[in-house]
Amino acid sequence: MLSRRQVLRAGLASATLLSLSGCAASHLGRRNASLQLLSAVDDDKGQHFITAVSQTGEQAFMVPVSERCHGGCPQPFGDHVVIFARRPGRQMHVINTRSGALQQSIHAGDGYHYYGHGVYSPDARYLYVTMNNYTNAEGLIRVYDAMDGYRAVTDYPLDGIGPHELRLHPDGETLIIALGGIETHPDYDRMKLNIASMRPALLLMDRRNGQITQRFAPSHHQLSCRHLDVSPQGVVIAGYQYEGPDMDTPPLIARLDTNSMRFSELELPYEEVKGLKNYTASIAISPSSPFTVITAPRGHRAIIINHHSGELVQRVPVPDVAGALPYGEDGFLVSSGLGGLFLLSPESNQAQPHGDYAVHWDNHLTPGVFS
Amino acid sequence: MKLLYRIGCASLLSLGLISSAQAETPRAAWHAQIGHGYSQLAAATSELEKTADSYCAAPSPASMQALKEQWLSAFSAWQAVRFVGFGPIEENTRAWKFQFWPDPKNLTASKVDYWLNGDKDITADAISRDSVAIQGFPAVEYLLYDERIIDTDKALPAERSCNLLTAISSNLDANANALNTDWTALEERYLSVEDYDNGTLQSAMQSLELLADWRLAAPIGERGNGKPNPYVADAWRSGQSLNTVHASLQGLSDYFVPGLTLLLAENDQMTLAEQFNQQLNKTLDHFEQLPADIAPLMETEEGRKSLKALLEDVNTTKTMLTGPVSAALSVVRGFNSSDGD
Repeated sequence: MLSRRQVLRAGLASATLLSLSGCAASHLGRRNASLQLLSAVDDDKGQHFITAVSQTGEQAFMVPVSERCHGGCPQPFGDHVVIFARRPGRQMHVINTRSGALQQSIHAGDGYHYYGHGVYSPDARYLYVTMNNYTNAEGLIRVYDAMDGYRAVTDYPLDGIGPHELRLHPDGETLIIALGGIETHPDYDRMKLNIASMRPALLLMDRRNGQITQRFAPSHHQLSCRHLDVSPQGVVIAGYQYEGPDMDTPPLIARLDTNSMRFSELELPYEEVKGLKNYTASIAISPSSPFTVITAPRGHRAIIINHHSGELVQRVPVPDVAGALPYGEDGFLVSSGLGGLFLLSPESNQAQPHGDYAVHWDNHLTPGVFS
Repeated sequence: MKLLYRIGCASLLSLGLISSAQAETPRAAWHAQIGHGYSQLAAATSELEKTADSYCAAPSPASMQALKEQWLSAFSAWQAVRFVGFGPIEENTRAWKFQFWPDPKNLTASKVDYWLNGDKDITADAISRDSVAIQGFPAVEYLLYDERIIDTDKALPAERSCNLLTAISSNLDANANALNTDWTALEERYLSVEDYDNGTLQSAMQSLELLADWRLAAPIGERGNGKPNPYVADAWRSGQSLNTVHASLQGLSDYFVPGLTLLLAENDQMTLAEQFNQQLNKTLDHFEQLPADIAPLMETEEGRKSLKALLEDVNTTKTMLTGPVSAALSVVRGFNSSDGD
């Protein structure tokens, strides 16, 4: 076990190894390639911020926010990135990627809270956000018109509780939604109100009309489906968090091939599943390779799988690892709550420190530009 | 464990920490002590169930007094093990079924009122399937103490109130017994999985933070906007909000400190172990001079001063555990691993 100090020291010592490969910029770059990533962070005093790291590894800005934030998504034109307050927060923040200014904060409205994730339509017109109507505990997708000052356009009901992360399918029309199944209420902070009666799911929704076209259920009702990513070929990898007894070792990773609509759960060796501590944080699929990273902060490790074959490729120890993004041809960038960013490669079982920052990186990394 | 014998038992004995021969390792000590706490809780809830039954069978001022005393005794037994936030207590919101807290919307009151005003059959089974807010000690406290009940025709021993009292008590006892059984069943795994060291330490740290910030600082106005919020304290209805804090700190001393001391000893940190123990005892000493509840102390300058002095010592205890003790034991308190999403 490493103390925070040891981890930070390790980060500093290896800072000289920090290589800024040009391929990162060319891979992620589309229009304005100044920002590599954004993330919610805390400083050592527990104050909450949104920060960004430039392509050259500099910390570009720290925007103070009142609530701890969670995930985010880049607008396809690269103008701004939206970062969401985490469950059960009620604000989403529009950050101008060029100036680093907090351009606008949108309130969820009376009776609603966010879960921390959203996604844009390909034309950047609409923003789809997972929300809870906490007066009746009904999960929904709210559609905002991003070109009309983020005006709320409509709500799509989900027939379920606790939607969490969502992504847009490569067809540009289908929303893929992780439904956690857990009820929360702002008055009870982060307490889980319905563990016994959870009904989690992985949903496909037509973004034009809100119709749910497919619904897949995890193999156990206490496997809360939280985070996901989708490959350009339409393979979805979703991560679970198990709310049952900690001695159980249920499967934690689901795979949906949207071409065949085959839904399955990865059967990893017992020791591998055990090492994840029944908890996954982020999923990131490499768009240009068959690899996916899954972070497990309670297990202090990340695993890389081949999302085509479902096989385990690497197990990499990283303390308190949570945020993840694809990086380069087949690698990943991950963040640690104890400080530091790390590069992972499918060829190595060791994480390579990639800059040390005096912040606690929160659950997710958001790309600075749409890719 | 050889290390422990090398440093000698004298220092451990001087702390009064070796209570049984089977506690050879820190985790064995923790499992045994927490198990003791859980069996005390199960015994106390069983008494509560009996006392509730006898009261309703033969209501009298004396049996009401006995009932109130047994409620406090069982609630205190819960406070003593409240620092355990892992293992079977984590399952199916069990902790809330003992104490739904905090309760900013007074759900406890609305749930009890709902059951009293309706005509549904009141059974322990029905209670166990309803909201956690109806299942715990605060729901019984509401029946025993709240003026919304005791100043009305619903006051005990009214029939539905008595039915509710005995049903909740019986369900509490069933839950305490199941918890105790499940903890015993965890033994082999708890002893073999090294990670439980970290889990147990983090759990104690979190409970001390919660105790300092929410159970003490918030009610006395030493947190947030500085406005005292008496309703966030435990047991404000019965006027026992300092007694519950006392019971939780005593629980840490009885059920957590022995294992901690063994673990620190294994890591050549006996001085730190003694310092922590002294600091916790110093904090416990405050209660000799304090009343059962926070409320009367808030009325005088002197009272408020004594609460602040208590808070200061609780904070020092907390900081010692989360700082030097945690560092000496290389506890990983991850930002994402301890409170992710």
